[in-house]
Amino acid sequence: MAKMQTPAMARLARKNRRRKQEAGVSSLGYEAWKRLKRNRMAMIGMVIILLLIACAIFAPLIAPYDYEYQDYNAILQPPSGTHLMGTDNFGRDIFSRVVYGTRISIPIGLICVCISSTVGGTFGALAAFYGGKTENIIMRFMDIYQSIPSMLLAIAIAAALGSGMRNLIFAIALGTIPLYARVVRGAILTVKRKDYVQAARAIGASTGRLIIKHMLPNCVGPIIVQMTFSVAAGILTAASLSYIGLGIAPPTPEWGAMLNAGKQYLQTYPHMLIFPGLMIMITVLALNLFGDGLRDALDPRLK
Amino acid sequence: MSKTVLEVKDLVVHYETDEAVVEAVNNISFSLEAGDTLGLVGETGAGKTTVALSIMGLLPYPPSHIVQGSILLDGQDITKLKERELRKIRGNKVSMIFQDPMTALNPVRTVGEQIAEVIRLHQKVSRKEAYQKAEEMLEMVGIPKERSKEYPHQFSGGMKQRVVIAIALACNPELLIADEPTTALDVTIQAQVLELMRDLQKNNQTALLLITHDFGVVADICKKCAVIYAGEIVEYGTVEDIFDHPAHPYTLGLFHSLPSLDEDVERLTPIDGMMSDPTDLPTGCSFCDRCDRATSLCSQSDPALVELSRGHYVKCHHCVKEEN
Repeated sequence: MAKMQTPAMARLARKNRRRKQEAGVSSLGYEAWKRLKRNRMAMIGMVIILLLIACAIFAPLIAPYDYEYQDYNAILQPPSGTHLMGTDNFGRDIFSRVVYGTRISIPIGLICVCISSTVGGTFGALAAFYGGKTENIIMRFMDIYQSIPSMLLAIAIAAALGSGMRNLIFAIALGTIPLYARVVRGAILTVKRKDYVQAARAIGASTGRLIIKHMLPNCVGPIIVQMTFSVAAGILTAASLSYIGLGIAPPTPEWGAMLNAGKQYLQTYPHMLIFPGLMIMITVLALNLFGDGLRDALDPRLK
Repeated sequence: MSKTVLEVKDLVVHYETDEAVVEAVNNISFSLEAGDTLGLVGETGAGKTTVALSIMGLLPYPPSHIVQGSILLDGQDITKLKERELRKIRGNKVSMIFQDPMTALNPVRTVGEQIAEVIRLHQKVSRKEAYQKAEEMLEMVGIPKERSKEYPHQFSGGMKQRVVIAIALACNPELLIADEPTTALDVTIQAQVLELMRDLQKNNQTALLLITHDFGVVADICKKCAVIYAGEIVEYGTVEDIFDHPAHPYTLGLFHSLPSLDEDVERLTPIDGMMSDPTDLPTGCSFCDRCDRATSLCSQSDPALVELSRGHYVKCHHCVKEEN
């Protein structure tokens, strides 16, 4: 009698065959990607981030109006068919401004985090790795650095360098360096005395290799969490700087600046505040989901 | 005569903290020839691991430092080498097997990558060649090469120790230091790992320095044996010398505290007391507080290491006198 094959069995067989094929070509990145793919929340986060990036690239195609166009016949309109997210106090279409805002806010958030985590992380890692005097000097310097309010520091830097997106990013990134130095130092300290680090040293690995290949991959968790949170903080700091005229000059749309502008209309026209706020929230949430999934995917012990 | 691979001369290592100076290793000398096996036996805190780490140049500085002595590896004094030069030696000429295989492998990298890493660090080969060599090493220690893409947590303890051994031997080192390689393993796995180490060592003519507190392991694998107490070699000789004619009271004490298959005893006889505080070693023989043969001479003057019979050295006033 021929063997019965139910659809479920066929599916299983297909899956196993695929698994076998995949096992042949696996590398570390591919393995991590496979694990990431299985994490639904992380995939949702990634899709949102990709959408936001697409939104920034294709902003002119998506936005129904010019972000600068002021329609004085339609001031402070609530959301409707013609103005999806309503209009602001100058009669500008909020949807178009939010769409164009991705071009400013997303790069600010991401680039700031990249700069400050690289610089701060390097200092933190070196401090933790060498310990003793080196650590003392670096960390005390970071303490002093951190005792200056980051806002004030950013204002000072932005004021000295002048406004503009590049200077704004620079100013915000500089302010959060000590934060990363701290987080990375703590993370490295937890793995510094582990046997496998000593073992790596015993096979002749150099300092850089020890830190990058053996220590950091084992403690990315807290660093990634810190990074996802600082994206939001970066966007908001940029907003505050814009508010006092040191950041992005109006009328360029920027989510934080839009929030600030909407503050006065909080009770009467909350839509001015809600939509840019929502965008910041969605961005942070997406980065968070993605970061969380990434952390899990990079750890082969978690299945 | 085969060539001398390692020669440790009058090694003194101290750990200096604000409160005290810990005299971890005091005047240890020994040498190892190619293909030789020396067992370094002693209780916890005797300074065994410190000796191993000084040979690797891995002593944490500060607080530790080598006060005097030299460690000649292939005629090169590694106590005088710079970090950059040491790096070339580690994993290449000397490698080390760590005590606990559970923690000695990096949990986020596949075992294949970890073996390939040491090959890439010391040999000019492409990534692919290194990986192929890594797979060969895995086969050599009895693990199918298909498992090279797996992570350490997917292996059992004995398998992990095999991987660690594969890493240690990947570059054909002249000297292999095994720091209690079987302590964390089951007895059956212990036997397998020891056999594997013996075979590989024999084939490659690697000198082996085995650090352990288990006389059984020493008897199994070593040719020579050094008993360490409070950072000093108190007895040194061939395994036959030590096992058949133990002379130093400490060695005797160690053997008495082991259960024997032939004798039926109610209780074992442990050595009384604790090891002397390494921050405050006695002026005389460091074992005199616990020794049942101790006399006033012992507490006043430190005995020298004396050759009892050919190649069998003892550091005790009484053993020598009795011989005379």
